[in-house]
Amino acid sequence: MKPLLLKLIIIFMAVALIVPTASIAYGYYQKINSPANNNPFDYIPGNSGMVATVHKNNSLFYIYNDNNSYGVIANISYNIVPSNNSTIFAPAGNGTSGNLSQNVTVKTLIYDKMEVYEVKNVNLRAILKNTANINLGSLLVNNTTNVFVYTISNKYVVLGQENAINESISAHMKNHGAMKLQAYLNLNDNESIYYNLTGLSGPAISAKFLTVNVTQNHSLVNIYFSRQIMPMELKLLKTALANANYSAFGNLSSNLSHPQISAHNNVLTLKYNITPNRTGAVFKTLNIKT
Amino acid sequence: MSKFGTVYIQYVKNYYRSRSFYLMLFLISIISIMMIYFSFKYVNNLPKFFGSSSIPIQIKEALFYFLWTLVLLYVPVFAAVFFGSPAISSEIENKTAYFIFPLPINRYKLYMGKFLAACTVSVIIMMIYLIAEVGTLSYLFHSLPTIYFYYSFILLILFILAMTSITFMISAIFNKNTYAYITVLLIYYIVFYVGSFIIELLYRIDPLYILSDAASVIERAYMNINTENFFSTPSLSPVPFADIIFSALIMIIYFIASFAIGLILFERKEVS
Repeated sequence: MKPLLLKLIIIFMAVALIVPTASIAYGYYQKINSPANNNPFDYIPGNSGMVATVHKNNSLFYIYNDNNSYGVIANISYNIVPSNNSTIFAPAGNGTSGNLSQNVTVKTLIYDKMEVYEVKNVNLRAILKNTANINLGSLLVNNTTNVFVYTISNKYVVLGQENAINESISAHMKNHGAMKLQAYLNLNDNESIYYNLTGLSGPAISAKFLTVNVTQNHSLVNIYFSRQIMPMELKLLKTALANANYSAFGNLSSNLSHPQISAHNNVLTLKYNITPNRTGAVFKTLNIKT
Repeated sequence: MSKFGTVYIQYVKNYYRSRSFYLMLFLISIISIMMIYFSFKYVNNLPKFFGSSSIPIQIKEALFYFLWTLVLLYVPVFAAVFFGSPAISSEIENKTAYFIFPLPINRYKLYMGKFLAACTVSVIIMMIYLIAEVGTLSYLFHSLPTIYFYYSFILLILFILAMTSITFMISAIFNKNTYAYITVLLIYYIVFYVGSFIIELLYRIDPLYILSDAASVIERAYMNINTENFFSTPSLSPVPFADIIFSALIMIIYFIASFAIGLILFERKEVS
């Protein structure tokens, strides 16, 4: 074979192999470094009943509820090798650590090729209270529970109950995360909550979901209906809210009874001059049951 | 047997008879014995390193595989230097090229035969270590290797191919073995390592497109702890699957590119 021809064949074959390989590699490189790949919303199930973001201790916590199973995504570091009195979860910011004062055991599990640690007999309520000052109060029935933990590219930790973790992994793997819900939440607010209303029983309402955004000065509730709100309906709603019985809400009742109400297309906005400083209080205010 | 097969067998025999092979065999045997001793001695004591008296058996097993695999980031480099660096330059330096080049066989068959022979002996050396690793850890933990072992093994084979093809390419440039040895070591330990460190320092990213960083996935397949990156957050979980695929593709690109350049350089090589 002529040397020049051989040289050309070698170059052609090398280019023919390198170009598609480099193209696939570039796709993976983008996937590895893509912000979407490390976006916590990609790991929150898209059909979650509730999704909330909470700012605490310079960290942003993402809380979700999927079929009454809670999960939390946070940029906290953790030491999965526990010993008595060891710190198992610690916030990445300047917050306090979540100390465990009881014996816990850790089991490694594999869900969809993801390594998940099952930490048994953990006081999830205490961890959330200590790490993020999030008081879920009565939302968690048991004091101790088995917490399931896995990491997202070493940047975030996902911890929660078994179903929540399973669904989180599935959401990422099968690409049905809650990315679309990101538009309804304001990540800069102290607390921002999305609540799905479609599965609610009771009076036939055409509301699809509501969002609550809590700032330093006020709380804004946006209720999204499936159709445009008529002026008559708005008037009736104002009357109903004014006459409603708020006695069950205790100290909050006086504030809750005087919201500023407005409507734009299919969105009804209620502005309250209250700033619940605890996520649990917001849940209770909205009468969200688990 | 075809000419290519004859070349391959003859060069495997040549490597088998060489001092380099026995030196590498001696080194890998010593390292294997040390690692076996270390594993048996510290199998129950290592958890104390984490400040705990007990860690889950799966994590302990992954940790031991991770520590054993640390060696496999360096041994293939030395195997490639020993078997690959003098591959072409020694033919000129020892003047054997006067007899081999005029033989009625295509140069590319010579190059490929010798390349495959060098890779084969490198894999044989690594297999000795891997057998010791699997035997020891299977005995200690009463379980066969997990899927991550096979990921790590495939990445190791790709690393051997990439590293050997780079050394062959360098060897095709020089006429003296010493230059080839030094250049390969300089490229790997100065250019790749320093380049990787500077990129990490400036951009705070793990430059997996540099061969030494891509090779780190061989051990990170068990635990995502990059022993060469000061800025990454360690994790006891395996590296994400996307990183494994990306690193494998990077090693394939290094292999094809350097193999093609080396082959062209060898085709043009003249005995002066």
